[in-house]
Amino acid sequence: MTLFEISLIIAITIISLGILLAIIRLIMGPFLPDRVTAFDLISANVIAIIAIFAVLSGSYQYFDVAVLLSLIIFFGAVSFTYHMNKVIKKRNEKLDEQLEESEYKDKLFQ
Amino acid sequence: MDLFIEIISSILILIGAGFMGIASIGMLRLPDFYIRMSAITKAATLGTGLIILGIVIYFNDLVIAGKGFVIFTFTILTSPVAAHIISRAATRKGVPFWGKTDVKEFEGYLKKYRRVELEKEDIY
Repeated sequence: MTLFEISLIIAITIISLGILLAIIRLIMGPFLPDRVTAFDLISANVIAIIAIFAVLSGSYQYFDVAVLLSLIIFFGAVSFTYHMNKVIKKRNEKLDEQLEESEYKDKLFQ
Repeated sequence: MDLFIEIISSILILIGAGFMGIASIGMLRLPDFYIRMSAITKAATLGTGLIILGIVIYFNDLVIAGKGFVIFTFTILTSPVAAHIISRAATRKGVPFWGKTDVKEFEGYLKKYRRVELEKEDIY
């Protein structure tokens, strides 16, 4: 084992510890955006691990996986926020209806 | 010459891994969703870029350099966009700010798009 391989293994260890920390945030994150961000960070770390593993194993076909992952992650975040925006819009419309009803009731009871 | 290339690339990869570790620590430790977001987008992008630069230097090949360039470009293009979208949705959802954050210039937007009275009723 050369010095270069040892340094690569150290780098993989650091990044794996980072994934562990991000998983803790993924579990305890108080809101959905926290979880989406934690997942983003995890996938960035996975990209880095795959790229380093391509060097360690000496076969650079693994590099294509990193290219694909870096594309897919973005679509994941975008679809999550699309869903969130839909839910928020529905909630706001419901709130508007409730406000209108309550004003109407106030006028009735006066 | 081989030893020189290995030393340079291993130093770059170690620095990049350090940045990724710092980003993860910031993800866990920082007080607020928006502050965490800023920590992640900068440090993780820089870490990925440094690691891929080190690998490209090590392989010393044109095809690998092209693929590395593609990865780096996608990361640098998409990570700020994704961060902006997520934090915009979070602001509209009503994720609370840190107590020390100065939101004075931001109040108009918050009043327009954020229903403060609904913060207690959590959908998620």
